[in-house]
This record gives sequence, C-alpha cells and structure tokens, in this order.
Amino acid sequence: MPSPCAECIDLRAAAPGRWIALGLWALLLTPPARSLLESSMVLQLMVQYPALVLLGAMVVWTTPRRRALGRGVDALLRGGAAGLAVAAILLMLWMLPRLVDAAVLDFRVALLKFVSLSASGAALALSWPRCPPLARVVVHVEVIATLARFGWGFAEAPQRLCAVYLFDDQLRTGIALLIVAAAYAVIAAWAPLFGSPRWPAHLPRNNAQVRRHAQPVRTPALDGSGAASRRNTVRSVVGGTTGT
Amino acid sequence: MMRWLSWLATTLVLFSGGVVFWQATDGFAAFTTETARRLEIARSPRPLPTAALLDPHGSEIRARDLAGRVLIVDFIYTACPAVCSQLGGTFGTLQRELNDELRHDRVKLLSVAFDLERDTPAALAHYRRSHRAGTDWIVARTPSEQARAAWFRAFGVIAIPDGLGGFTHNATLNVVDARGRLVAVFDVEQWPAALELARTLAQRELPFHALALR
Repeated sequence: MPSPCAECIDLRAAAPGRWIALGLWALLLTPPARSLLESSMVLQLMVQYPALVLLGAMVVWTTPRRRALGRGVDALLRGGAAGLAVAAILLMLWMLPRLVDAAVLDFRVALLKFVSLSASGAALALSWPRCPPLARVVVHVEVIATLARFGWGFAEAPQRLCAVYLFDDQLRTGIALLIVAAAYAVIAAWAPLFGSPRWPAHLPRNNAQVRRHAQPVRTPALDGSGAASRRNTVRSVVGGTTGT
Repeated sequence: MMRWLSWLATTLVLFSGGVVFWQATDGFAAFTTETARRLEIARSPRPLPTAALLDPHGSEIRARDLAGRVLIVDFIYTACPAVCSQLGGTFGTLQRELNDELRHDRVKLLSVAFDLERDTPAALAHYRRSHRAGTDWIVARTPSEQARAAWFRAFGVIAIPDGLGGFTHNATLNVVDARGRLVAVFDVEQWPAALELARTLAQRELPFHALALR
C-alpha cells in the first residue's frame, strides 16, 4: 500500500505552476474580468465557477509533495470524505440564487466566493486520489444529480430567481446545466460500459478472464492431498499476487 | 489507526455546512434575494429614506411629509412597456377600491419613477393622465443617482437593464404604515392582500388630524 502521505503537499517548495495558478486567480478577480464573466448567469456558472475550482486544484497539483506531514493529518484526510464534503457544501452554497446575487453586488462576498470556490477545488484535488473506487462512483452520481436538480430548477422556475439576471439568462443557464449533467453522465459511464484504453493491462477485463486466471495453484513442496491444505495454498493470481 | 479522526472530521464538516446553509437561507426559508427581502421586512420593518423625490410640477416630496398616512409604493419607469403598465393598472384599481380612505387622507399611493433620463416631468404628467391618477396618487421621480440609490436601498429594489432599453426590477406593491415604516411586500397579483393590509393599517393607526375630523 502506498503511503497516503504521497499526496501531502509542501507549501514551502518552489513551484512556478502554483504561482501561475494564483496569478490567473488574481486576474479573474480584477473588475474587468469580473464584469465580463458576471455579465451573464451562463458565463458565471459555466466559465467563472469551473475556472475558480480548476485553479484551486491546480495549486494542489503543481505543488511538490513531501512525505512527512504527520500521521494525524493523514488520518484526518483518510478516504477523502472530509474534503469531498467540504467541496460539495461550498459548491452547492454558491449555486443558491441569493448568494449568486450577493456575490455580484458586494465585493466582500465576491472575495469570499473566489476563495471558497478555489478552496473546494483544492479539497477535491487532495481528496479524489484518496477516495475509494466505490465512493467515487457515489460522488459521480451525486454530481450528475445535483447538476440536473439545479438545471431543472433554473429551467422550470416560473419567475426570476436571481435579482441580478434576466429570465432568459436563467432559462439558458438551466438548459446548459442539464446538458452538462447529461454529458457528465455519458463520460462517467463510458469507461465502465464500453471499456477504456487506459484499463490496466494486467487486470482481467471480464468474468471469463477472471475464471481463466484464478486457477488453483499447488505448491509441490507441501503435501497437497488434504482439502484443508489445498484451501490454504489456493491463491488467485489476479492483481499480481501469488501464493506464499 | 485513528480511523475515527476522518469520520469525526467529515461529521464536523457536514454539521458546519448545515449551519452555514441555515444561516445563508434564513433557516431554509429564503433561497432568493426577493424572498429574503420580504422576510427581513416582515421581521423588522424598515424606515423610509430621507432623500426627496420630485413631482411633475417640480415640488419636493419627502417621506416625512407623508407620515401619518398608510402608503402603497411601487417603482416604475414611464417608458416601461409591460410590467409597469400592469403596475399602473393595479394602482388604478387600488385607487378605486381605496376611494374612502384616500378621500379621508388616511392612505396615499406613491409611484416612484427611477429612470433618470427618460422620466421627465412631461413623461410623469403623461403617465398620470393615461392612468387617470387622482390627487392622492403621487407620481414622483428620483432626481439624482444618490436619491435613486437611497430609495432602492430602503426598499431592497434591484433594477437591471433588460437589454431592450428598459429595466427589469422587482415590480411589487410595498406597504408602508402610518409611522413611515415599510412593513410588507406583495406581488402585483396579490393586490387584494395589499389592499386589505392598507385598510387594516389605516383603521388601526388613524392619524391625529383624521381623529380630529371625526
């Protein structure tokens, strides 16, 4: 098992990528960039939000890892659950119409939005590698459902929800969110359903291969006549592990 | 090995997330700015701004001059094609329904025109004529950027360009009590409720001079 500390970041290390990410982040915070991306709801939710999340993740990705961050921090981040919860809460919070308005009208709220959206990106980047595969599936499903819920809500609302955006804009945002939800579902389901070229070559691709590989292995040195000892010596070769 | 730590952290995160959501939505009651505005006004009535408005004749209208009467206030711009004429029509209905109260100077209607460029005195006069506004329906404009901001802030109104040369804004009926506090906000379709509240408030808080006349 790889040390979970492999993902711990060293904020003291020199990392040009991190400074590029922080520079882009500051650029997005300037009034011209803000007024451009916040001029419409579609641009804000479809461009500004993902950009901020991505820049937060970039800070984590571009910062060199170091091994010793303490067992306590590792235990805290174990499984990625805490980080994913942080990201989920922050992302949903800034999709509330009331906070979308507040962030456009008040610079202090906008700053809070910028920091917390990027923090959610960083939390995602830290947590995803620690997240077990089955939990990842749950996260994918929940992301699709949340995008669809908000999209449906914006597209079907009979009146304006955001005081700073027009009704047509809200309708377009809702439809865009529904399209993104559908596209996400297709992309997430593609590899498990239709296979992916990135599937590790040493792993079986289907049940027939699993059966072919999982033949009992006998060690001739031991007495293999008894059923109990056979059970002990049978090992699956799946995943590269062999018998003792 | 300290498995409980990540469990504890996740629980704490979810709990504080719930608290933040509770705070940000006034206890899961207000998800939009408009709902939040109405909730806040209902909980703690707001005072009217001190900034003066100008009527078509150019005389100043101040909130304190109107104290002692219940007000129904709407925000309009005279170049408005649809929503404001709906507001105007509703105010016309209110003017008819509140005939008694208006005559006894217990209620007044106030339309605040906020388009700084096109709401000229002539445009206001035309608006008055086309909606048959009587003497107790005041149509006045915000004379400056500051006055407009003050009135918008006091009522929580947000107006944005609609891309067609006009504005989109909270087209609502705002009820102000006789003590000059904004107490309730209604959609245009809810005008009977606004009428009812204005009548009740006018009954309850009869101004001094109205008592003297009785």
